[in-house]
Amino acid sequence: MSKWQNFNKRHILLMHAAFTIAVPLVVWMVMNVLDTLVCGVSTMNSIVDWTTLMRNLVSSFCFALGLNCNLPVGRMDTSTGSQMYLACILGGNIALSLNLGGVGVLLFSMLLGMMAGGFTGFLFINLRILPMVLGLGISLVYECISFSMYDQQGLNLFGKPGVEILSNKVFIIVVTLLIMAVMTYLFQYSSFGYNRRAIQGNQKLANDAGINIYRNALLCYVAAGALVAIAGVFDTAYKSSLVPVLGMSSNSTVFTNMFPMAVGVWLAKKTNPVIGILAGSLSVQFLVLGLAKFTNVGMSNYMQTCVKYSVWLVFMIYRMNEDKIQLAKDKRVRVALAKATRAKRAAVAAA
Amino acid sequence: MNADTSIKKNEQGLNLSLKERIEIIRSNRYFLMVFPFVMLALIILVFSIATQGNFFRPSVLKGVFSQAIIIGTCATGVAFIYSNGNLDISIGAVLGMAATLGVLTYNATQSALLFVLVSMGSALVLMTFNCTMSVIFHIKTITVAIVVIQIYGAITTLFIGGAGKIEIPYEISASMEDGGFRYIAFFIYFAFCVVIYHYTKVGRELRFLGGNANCARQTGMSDSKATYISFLMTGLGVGLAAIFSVIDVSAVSVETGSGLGMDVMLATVLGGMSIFGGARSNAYAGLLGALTVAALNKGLLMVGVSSAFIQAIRGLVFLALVYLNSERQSLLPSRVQF
Amino acid sequence: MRKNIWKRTATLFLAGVMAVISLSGCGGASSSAPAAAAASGSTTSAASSETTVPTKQFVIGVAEAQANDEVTTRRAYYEDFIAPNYNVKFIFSEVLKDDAAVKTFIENCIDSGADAIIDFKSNSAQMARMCEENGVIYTVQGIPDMSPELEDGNFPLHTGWVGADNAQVGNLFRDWLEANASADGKEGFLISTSLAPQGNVQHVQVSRSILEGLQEKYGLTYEKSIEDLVASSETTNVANDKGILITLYPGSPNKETWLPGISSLLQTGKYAMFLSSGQTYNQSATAVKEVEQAFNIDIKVASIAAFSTTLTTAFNTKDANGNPSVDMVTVKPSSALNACLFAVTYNALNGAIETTCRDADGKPANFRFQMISITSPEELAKTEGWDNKDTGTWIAGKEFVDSMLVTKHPDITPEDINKIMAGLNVDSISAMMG
Repeated sequence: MSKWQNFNKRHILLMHAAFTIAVPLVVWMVMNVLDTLVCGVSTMNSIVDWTTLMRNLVSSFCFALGLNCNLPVGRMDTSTGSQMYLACILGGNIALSLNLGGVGVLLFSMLLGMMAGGFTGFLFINLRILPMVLGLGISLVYECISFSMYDQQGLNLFGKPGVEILSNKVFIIVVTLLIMAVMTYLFQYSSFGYNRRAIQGNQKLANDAGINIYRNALLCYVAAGALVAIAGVFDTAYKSSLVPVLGMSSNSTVFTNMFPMAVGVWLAKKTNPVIGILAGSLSVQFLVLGLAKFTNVGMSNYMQTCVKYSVWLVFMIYRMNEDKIQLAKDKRVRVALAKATRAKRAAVAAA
Repeated sequence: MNADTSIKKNEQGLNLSLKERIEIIRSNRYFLMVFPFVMLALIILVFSIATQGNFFRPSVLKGVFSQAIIIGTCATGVAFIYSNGNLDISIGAVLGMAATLGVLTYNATQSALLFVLVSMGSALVLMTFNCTMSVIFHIKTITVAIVVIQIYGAITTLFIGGAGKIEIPYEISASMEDGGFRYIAFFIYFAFCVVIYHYTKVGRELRFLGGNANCARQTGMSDSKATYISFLMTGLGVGLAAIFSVIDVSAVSVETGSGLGMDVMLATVLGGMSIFGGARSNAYAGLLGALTVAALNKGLLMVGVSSAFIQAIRGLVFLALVYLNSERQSLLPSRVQF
Repeated sequence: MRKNIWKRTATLFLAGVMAVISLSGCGGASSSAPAAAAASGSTTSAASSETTVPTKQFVIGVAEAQANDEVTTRRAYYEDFIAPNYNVKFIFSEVLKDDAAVKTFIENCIDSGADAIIDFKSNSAQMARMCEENGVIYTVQGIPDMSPELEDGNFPLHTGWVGADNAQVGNLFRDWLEANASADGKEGFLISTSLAPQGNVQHVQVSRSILEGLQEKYGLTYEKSIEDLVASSETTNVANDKGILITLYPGSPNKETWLPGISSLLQTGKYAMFLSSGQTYNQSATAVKEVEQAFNIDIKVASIAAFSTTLTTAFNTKDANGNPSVDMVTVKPSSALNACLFAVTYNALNGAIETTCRDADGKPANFRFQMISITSPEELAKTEGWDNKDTGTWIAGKEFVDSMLVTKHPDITPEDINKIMAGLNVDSISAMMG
């Protein structure tokens, strides 16, 4: 074993941590170089860029984490987007009517998100309809409710007293750390998390071993609802308003946030799902912000979309085939070793 | 003596509760086949009564069919993909791009035949690309679909350009429509799909793979070959649907096909088929579901329901029908899609 | 077993509660609700004993293109005011995303017995044709330039177009720019051209007027023609002989990618004027505010708008420099637009399409309305209560609507209607509203 391999083996945690940090760092460096060379500005050009990054990061992170509650367990909930709309519009407006400011908007939206997610989970465990199919039906209903309330105006945060805090960097960091702490505990150290991983392995075995799969599923839906509501609030703070949609258009939010989730799940092999998804979301945000700088040189939004999703496709090709790539590498190493051994023996025999 | 005892036991065994009787009826495969038809007939009946017979006019029923034809065509094709356990929601983006390329071809060549061929060909090529990503690179079809929706949509917008919409002369679409192109093409395609799906080895293999992929592979069925066939069959349907959508409004816009993937899924499930395939799959579920949705939309508007309500009612009806039509699993349904 | 039955019962009960909440929370049905038909600013209410409501009920379908303040106001105006006063039933669509959706909606309306369609989305000969085949009146919100096939085609039941006088709208932007842009033009101008590349005439006109205004003010020579610049679907720096920074940013503000693109341009800190041909002042508000704070600059914002609480909030919210967060908006008198659309349609339904909906050349008439410019909270305060759906005070009250109807004025012509619409400005509306 080489010195490097030896070091790698002895300090495996350190290497994993370094890898998790390296991925978003590399993305940032690449985008920074491209932006500087082509657009004449760096990716993070001003304090405003940092605010935008942090706000979008917490939104993307929470949504991806929300998706991660159910997706790995075989439940693709297509109603997550509509839960976000319902929770933010209803919860946000209630908080604003009570003059509770940004924190109130966040808390009430979270509460409504938990209720919306919980109701979906409740229906799921009782009706036993496929999650994707159930999600379609629930999206139709939730979208309609959020559209019809408040005169179709949705949630408008601009100019409302006390909502500036949602753009405050310290607040965003505090919220992110809190979410990380809570979700790490839930996923990694609580019985809920252990049970969830057991169910992810084999639902029938987990059920036979005495795990209450129904309660676990319900809690997953509740957690997902709360997380996507938080994501929606920060996203609305950036866009000033959240306009309700119909026709299952809310599904697009679900699909857009699968990219950071996919990267995060891949990185999670080195650390844990929460940190992995944070790093994944950060990487995607650097990519998006970096591409946005190309607007200055005339690159259209559509070209940026093509590039972003092409990167995702390439990443998925790599991710789904990395074991084969690793096998090919190992095979080359073995073949090289075999050739070297044969050569040595031949040399000894000749001698 | 033994015969008397067994008769007594049978008489005792026949005391089934109402719930058990309902479960027996629900589990009967003929019930599951007939249920979507019955629901469609019931919806038509209810709206006919509510509108004092107006809903039952031939023009209204023809309108229902006309509105359902695009989703119905796509859903008939997509049944092949669903039946062997895959999911593809990118058919809307494929349709948009195929329609755009077809219209651009027509405007360049003034040839309706080329318009048809390019639309069909583009759809086949795009679906083949989707399939290749899945088969060769082992990416789940749903992931490929999510990615290509955005890529194809962006490329379509770039092709259509600043105008947001490109048109073909009304005379061309009118002549195709008056000639019954849509209906003839649809019925030929539908019949073709039903025959392939239900009466050939190809269809049986697809359903077997969807039902139990391991068993199917071990009996020698090729997963990749089946996947390619299913995507190509869908490509044919989507290409046709692209032509229908252009004929419908003599134009293609950046919004053409948007949301179609989910609408098709909705229609398929409403028509009584599971989106994860298996033995219960059939080729006509999509058409049935599309007709049900179109009838529901039209009927609700005709009885004066506010547009804000229509979607919610559609959702509730959808959930109710799916619940009634699905087998209750002993554990929670799940399928890893990512 | 008993637990399962309880669970199922609870599930069904909750589903039912959900349905009830969603149905009750959705508000009234499509037909009129006279409860909110309070007195309008200028005329009598629905309950007035002097007004006789027509006995024949017409059914009008309204094809909507989006869901925003204006649409909510329109719905309230039609359902709460027009419907009870004129015995009309309205069928409103969901948000229609393309021509196919409009066609489906029109087909469904025809099957529901609609007598007329007001189309905010399509402006297409195909829809006119379909209405013609079914004997349904067809009115369009828009302008003829965007549909030459409709303008030149033979559609006897097509009443014409009702839309903003886009040249006047453009002049409002130009005049404001003249008064507010700096003498040397060093502040940098960011112009959101919205759907101008797609041919949206209002966006084209506004964008063109802004570029012409800048050209006049600074004596600029552009390297490309204004038509080419406005039609560009890429972000374009307008090259000019004086080196003044003018950037055109196209794209629908409704798309998710619009805000990140605009933000990245604003975040360069090079722009102190942000002019939008679409209704974007609310969406860009946070991005503008943050850039102002970070770079310590005052960004002046001009946009299209509609009367709403959002607009009031925008004018009353101060930015870091103590100025309102929006500096100029052009607002359409929504009820006046809707009243004109209704009047034109109603006249046609009463058999007067040839006299009230045809211009001198016999083509469908083009009805124009003027927009109002608001540049300060004080000016906005003057418009308080205008088109307020909660109190039912409308700019276009009964007297205003009646003045355009053939049932009240048998000799009315399109020119008369246009004169009535052209007479609307801040002073005349204030006088009407008392």
